[in-house]
Amino acid sequence: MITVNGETMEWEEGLTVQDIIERKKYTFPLLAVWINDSPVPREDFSSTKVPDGAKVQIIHMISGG
Amino acid sequence: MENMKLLAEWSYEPAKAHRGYTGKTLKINVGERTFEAKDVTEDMKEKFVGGRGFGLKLLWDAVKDTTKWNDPENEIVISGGPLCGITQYPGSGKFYAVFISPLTEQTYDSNAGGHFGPLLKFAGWDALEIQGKSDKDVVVVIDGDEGKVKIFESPFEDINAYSITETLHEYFSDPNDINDRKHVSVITAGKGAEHTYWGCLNSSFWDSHRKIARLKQAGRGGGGTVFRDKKIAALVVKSHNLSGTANDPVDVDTLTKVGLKLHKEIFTLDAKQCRMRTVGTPHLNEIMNEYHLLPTHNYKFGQHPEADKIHSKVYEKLFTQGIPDGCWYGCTLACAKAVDHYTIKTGPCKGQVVTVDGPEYETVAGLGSNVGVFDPEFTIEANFYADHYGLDTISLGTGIAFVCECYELGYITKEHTNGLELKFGNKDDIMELIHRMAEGKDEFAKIVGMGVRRMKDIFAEKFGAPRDILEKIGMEGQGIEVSEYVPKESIAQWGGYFLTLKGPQHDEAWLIFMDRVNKQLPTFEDKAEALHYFPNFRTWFSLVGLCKLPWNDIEPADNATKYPPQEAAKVPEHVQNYVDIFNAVTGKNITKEELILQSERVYNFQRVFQLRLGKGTRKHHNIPDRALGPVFPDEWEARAEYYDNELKQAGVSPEGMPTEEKIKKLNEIRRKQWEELVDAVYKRRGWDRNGIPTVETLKRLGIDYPEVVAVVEKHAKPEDRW
Repeated sequence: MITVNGETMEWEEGLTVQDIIERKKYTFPLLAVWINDSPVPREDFSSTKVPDGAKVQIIHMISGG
Repeated sequence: MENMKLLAEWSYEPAKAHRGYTGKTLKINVGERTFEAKDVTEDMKEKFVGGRGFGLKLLWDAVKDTTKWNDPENEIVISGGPLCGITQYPGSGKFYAVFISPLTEQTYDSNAGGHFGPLLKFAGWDALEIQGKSDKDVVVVIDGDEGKVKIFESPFEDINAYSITETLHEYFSDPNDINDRKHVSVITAGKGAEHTYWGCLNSSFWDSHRKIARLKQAGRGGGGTVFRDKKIAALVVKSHNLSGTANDPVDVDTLTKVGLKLHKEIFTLDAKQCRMRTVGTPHLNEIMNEYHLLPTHNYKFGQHPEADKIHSKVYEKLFTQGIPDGCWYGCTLACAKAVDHYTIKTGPCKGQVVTVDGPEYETVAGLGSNVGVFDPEFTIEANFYADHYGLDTISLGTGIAFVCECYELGYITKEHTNGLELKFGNKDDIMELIHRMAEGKDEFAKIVGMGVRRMKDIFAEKFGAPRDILEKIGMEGQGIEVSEYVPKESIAQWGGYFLTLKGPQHDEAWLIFMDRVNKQLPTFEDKAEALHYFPNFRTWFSLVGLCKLPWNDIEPADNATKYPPQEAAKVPEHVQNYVDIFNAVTGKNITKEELILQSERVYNFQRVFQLRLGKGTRKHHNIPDRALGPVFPDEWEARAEYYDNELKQAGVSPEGMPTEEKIKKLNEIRRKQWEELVDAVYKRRGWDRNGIPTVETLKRLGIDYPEVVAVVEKHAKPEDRW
């Protein structure tokens, strides 16, 4: 089990940041991701594996208007 | 065009800009046909900075406590600000128009791109006050080359924007050089502005690639209605004093260096980020739909199965690509997209082939999904006519959406609408209503054009519609319509829309992602802090003459990894850019904290101004039920699991509860949360329980002028102190 923005989510072996983004249907382009308070560069979203028990923050940079 | 008849003329010595200011403001009374130059004092620069700040200060001095929007002493004050007109940094051509609004009956500020703001300054003026009411249609011309201000009798029978803008560019420029038209800019409104309260101000710029005059809008608040009430057909400014240093900045090297850094970011990153250069703000279309934020059917829903038809990829194809679409020189973000070679299908321009400016995201939503139409051609045509007639596309969209819902609920019928079947999605009849509103053709069209707040009164009192339902579904705050983002799932955005100075416009704070998706604002205090910082940060753009978009619709490549989440949302490097360019132009030495202080002064001054005009207290921060949650069962059922969960999280079991009961329960919970939010925000802003800035706050900010303190002391009550 992991948390994503404070909500629990099932974890599975090999789960990547990109997998979480897709499951959450986060399509906003300006996303910033931290795993256990460490930032993940955007270009590494697909290759970065998320460990079990991780605290994941997927931050949508403010926009609109 | 025939020669125009001169009614009045005045000569002046155009002051050159120095460190961002000319030091002079111009007042024109179109009724008395008088002219006056005023000096800008150091105190005015220190406390009000420029732009909207100057507008509010000058308007404060010009009106009485009892002044209404259509009184002669009401003004339209136009001012760019000290950074307006620089060409080194993207988004530096904005002006802000300040006036008492016909919709909200208090001060309103609305901004536009185009060339008017910079050319006004380069013609010698930091601000322009227009007061009085003419007895006939006039064209007002400020000629910075000749040093003359002239008032002409308008020769135009048709004063709609596209009918006269290009003619005036041509008339006031060298007839032998089409490129000379770039030295002219024109503000117009139109018939729609005359016949409704939703009048916008169109600000032109000469597009040297297309060889046409294009329009940007100060859309909101009814500035165009005030403009036409004064019988101004057009306001023209002319100046050949155009160069990269016409603003006379103190440190060109820093200005250039900081500007180049942002240009580089835009060129390398925009295609991967928001695609502003190819599609502009409609990059948001599908994003808003996917996050349940796209207003659909008068904000009932935030998603629609036909939203693919208005996807940004569709608009990308409709917008002409490969033309640098900046609305002021040096703006490489270039989001002023346009649809070229569009053949008009309806109304007085039917058959004409035109260029349509936009649509922007809010127009796609307002004159699209919110009225149940998922046809880009309808939106493009409605956008064209809104600009042509001088109508705000946002209020028009939200207002018509309200009409459509009332029609579908049976509160109004064809008898009221003079035969129009105003159901959601009935695009032909909706377009016909827009034409009728512009013409002021019938009683119903006039009623619609008075805005949602007055429609609620009239539909209830004259048509017998149930007042309680109208109050629940009429999406307005302080008298103005909500600006096309569904706010009901974000407590912080209730404040971003409804705890604002002037009503629900998204230029104070857009906090939905921070609050609802990112979960970065868990407590009311966190939300209040965001509702202190962001409105003040964004107010600053309006003081200096900048566009908001280059702040956070592009961000440095490492913004997301270099800063902790809360800080990253502020885009710290861009905030530093603003500090640097402000200092580079003005020679001052402000910090990022002082930047917020500059805004806070004007923000609180405007709050006291609203109070002076009989508004500006807690009861005027109204929020309709639909902004808080679902009103009808079909809204609930569309996201039943989500809303049931909302009840569970509040400790209420939805099991076996009828949907109507669930709606009532959630509304009770959210109304309570709203009141908690209001308290937290007022406290953080240094206001009392009634939303009035305290005298201590005025003193802290250095705006404790006797006349300002007197307004507060007149209205504040001891029992409202915390």
